Amino acid sequence: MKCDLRSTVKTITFGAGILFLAGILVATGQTPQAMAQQTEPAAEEPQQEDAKPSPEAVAAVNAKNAECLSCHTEAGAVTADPTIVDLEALSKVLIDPVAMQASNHTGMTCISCHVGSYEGFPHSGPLQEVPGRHETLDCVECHSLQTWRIEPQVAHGAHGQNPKVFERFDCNSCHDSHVFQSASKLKDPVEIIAQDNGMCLSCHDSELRFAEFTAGIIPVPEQPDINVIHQFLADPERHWSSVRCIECHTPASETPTLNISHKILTKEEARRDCVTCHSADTHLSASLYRYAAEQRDAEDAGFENAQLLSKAYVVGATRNTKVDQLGMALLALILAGIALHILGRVIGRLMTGGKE
Amino acid sequence: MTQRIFILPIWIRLWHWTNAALMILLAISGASMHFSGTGWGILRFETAVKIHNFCGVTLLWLYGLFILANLFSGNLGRYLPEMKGFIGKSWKQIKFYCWGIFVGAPDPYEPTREASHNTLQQVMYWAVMYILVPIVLISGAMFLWPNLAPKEVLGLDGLVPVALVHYVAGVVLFGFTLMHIYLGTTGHKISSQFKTMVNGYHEME
Ligand code: HEC
Ligand code: HEC
Ligand code: HEC
Ligand code: HEC
Ligand code: HEC
Ligand code: HEC
Ligand code: HEC
Ligand code: HEM
Repeated sequence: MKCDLRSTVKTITFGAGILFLAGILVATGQTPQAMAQQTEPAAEEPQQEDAKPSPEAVAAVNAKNAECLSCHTEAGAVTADPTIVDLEALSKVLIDPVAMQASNHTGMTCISCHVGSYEGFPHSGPLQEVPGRHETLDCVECHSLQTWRIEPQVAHGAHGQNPKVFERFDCNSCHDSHVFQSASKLKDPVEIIAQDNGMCLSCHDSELRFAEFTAGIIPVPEQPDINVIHQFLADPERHWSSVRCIECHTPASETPTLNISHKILTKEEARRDCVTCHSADTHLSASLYRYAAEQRDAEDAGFENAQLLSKAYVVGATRNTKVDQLGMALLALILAGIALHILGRVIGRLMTGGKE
Repeated sequence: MTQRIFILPIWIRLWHWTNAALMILLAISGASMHFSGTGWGILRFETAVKIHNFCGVTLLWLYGLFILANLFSGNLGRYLPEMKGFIGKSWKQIKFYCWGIFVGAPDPYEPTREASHNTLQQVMYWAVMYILVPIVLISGAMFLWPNLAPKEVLGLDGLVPVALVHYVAGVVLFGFTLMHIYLGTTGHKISSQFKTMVNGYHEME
């Protein structure tokens, strides 16, 4: 009896608790799934707006930016008034508004990053030691979580080895704020490769930029030819257009869903094993081809890693298991035929007394 | 006493063994690449690529020379079966391989300097050397110089069909090679035909 009472009280308390929680949910108009999502660590800020910005908002941004773009574009540099503008200086500070439209920073006003004296013209204030950087917000101002994750990775990588190089090396060395598109936005592997390799090659395949960048730090800024260094790839050029540098020059993550690390591996650490890509469990599926369209038909036809096939046939990674089975069956048949034939000859020889 | 007749000039024998060595190296290295990472490959991927590319290009040259030599030496005749009595001769040969050989019947065909291949061999070798090998060579060349290959086929990279054709033709060619080596043991003695290919002489009974 006592026992029963206890369990009844328990049940009532429990039920009331559930009802209470449900009441709160209904009152705030949320489903349990939505609650669960909110308790997950917040997606890295700034949040991607699901809804497209209203046409009015877009128009307002465009109008604001048109002021700046009236000078800072190829067209603007021609039409700007030479009496108030140093055309020579302007010609060095142009941006491509079409590329910016496509970039992740589309829809932002120029002055959300270029603050202070840039907001009016002539741009007052002291000339910056580092061009464009003065009174321009750093990535960390808006992407604090990402930057806190990425900064130490960059520091521990190849570009952090020489403190003097590292001093000059920051997010802008690789990322052009007006152009960059994240892999999840580009999706197409060919475009991702072109953009991401373009970053690295702009220094590592350009004597000019490399020399400019290392002026005063590295006495003779000579770098070995990128194709010579990577001669082991049999055909480096072919790889530059089909994989990214960071495929081999960043450490693999245990969790393939995480973003690629920013730690650039040195020549000692970089991956050189062909099997990382040229095998059934190719690294490419989880990285470069993460956002690529599925290839259902090809997959059904027996291809492994079928999503690679729209852009490349990668020996070892994209073989067709059904064709393999057929091939094996053919060879097995031939071998069996030969074995039978040998048997026939041996028996024949035994029966005819050794003469063949 | 056995009688010897000379049937194979030196250039054919040199060509034959170079060709054989290249084919075997290509098959081993090709399979190593194809099954890379599965534990079935014999060579490391890096090594296999080097060997395959080198042997592939060498085979291309060798095949070119082979065609030229065949045209100019009249050797092409070896491969073209005579249409007269074709079926009857083929049937005889098939009967020999499937039965006669077991009971010690004589090979219905004795090679001569002018025609060292029996009818079946003629058809087979003709098909292999003038259809199968060119398919492997052309698809291989497209693999090596991808700008020779189509850019895109049915929404897939242009190398996909090239690779498939190359692989399938390679497997069939390898199967042929196995049969070919085995049939090499069907001479008067197990080793006779191999000897012929070394010294050029065929030993008559
Ligand atoms: C009338 C033409 C004109 C207009 C309008 C103009 N700029 Fe400039 N801007 C220049 C010139 C010329 C320079 C280079 C000389 C200098 O630094 O003052 C420059 C330099 C800059 C730089 C620094 C480049 C560097 O590396 O030193 C930034 C950033 C910049 N402008 C942003 C803006 C923004 C944002 C706007 C719009 C709010 C804007 N500009 C409007 C002409 C213009
Ligand atoms: C998300 C932030 C951001 C936005 C939005 C942005 N910029 Fe920039 N901009 C930068 C950064 C960072 C640099 C410095 C690049 C560097 O150091 O190489 C820069 C550099 C520049 C320069 C100097 C030239 C150069 O290439 O180094 C100009 C001019 C400029 N921006 C103009 C504009 C204009 C015009 C707009 C609007 C259409 C705009 N920016 C929008 C971040 C931004
Ligand atoms: C003034 C604020 C601001 C600054 C400064 C800024 N960004 Fe952004 N960034 C944004 C906004 C807003 C978006 C668009 C919302 C989104 O996609 O998350 C964005 C999107 C991005 C994205 C795509 C989304 C993602 O997380 O993958 C990347 C990559 C990015 N920014 C890189 C940079 C880098 C690198 C810098 C420094 C060179 C920088 N941003 C500076 C505001 C800023
Ligand atoms: C050595 C060149 C390099 C430097 C330096 C660099 N990045 Fe990147 N970053 C890349 C490349 C390449 C990618 C593309 C990776 C991908 O496609 O996922 C990338 C991707 C990103 C992304 C989108 C994917 C993600 O990881 O969220 C953000 C955000 C970003 N970088 C921010 C930064 C910031 C902030 C800094 C400075 C602390 C920085 N990057 C410095 C090369 C660089
Ligand atoms: C702004 C120019 C610049 C960009 C962009 C750049 N690098 Fe570098 N990189 C350098 C400089 C400078 C060094 C240092 C050279 C030295 O110390 O001799 C270096 C060093 C390296 C090294 C180290 C070589 C060694 O000694 O082991 C590697 C690897 C490397 N970079 C890869 C990359 C990759 C991958 C990217 C693209 C994601 C990239 N770099 C982008 C300038 C750049
Ligand atoms: C297949 C993997 C792979 C890819 C892809 C790759 N690398 Fe490397 N990289 C390596 C390896 C391995 C080394 C070390 C080579 C050595 O020391 O023999 C290296 C060395 C380097 C070095 C050091 C050069 C030196 O000797 O100082 C630089 C710089 C470099 N890579 C940049 C790049 C750039 C830029 C790209 C993209 C265009 C790239 N790598 C793509 C694997 C790769
Ligand atoms: C980072 C990934 C990656 C690594 C590591 C890599 N490859 Fe590749 N490789 C590729 C991709 C992707 C292609 C497809 C290129 C194309 O579209 O033709 C390719 C193509 C090739 C080809 C041409 C045949 C084909 O598959 O289309 C050869 C040969 C080759 N790689 C050799 C090597 C060798 C040798 C190594 C090791 C030293 C190596 N690769 C390491 C990604 C890689
Ligand atoms: C007996 C002849 C040959 C066989 C059995 C053979 C077999 C193979 C196989 C199995 C592959 C892997 C393909 C895949 O994974 O889908 C391959 C790749 C390749 N083959 Fe061949 N092949 C032969 C001849 C040739 C020739 C003559 C050439 C060149 C002219 C060639 C060029 C290539 C190339 C370029 C590749 C891609 C990998 C690399 O670059 O090495 N092959 N071959």
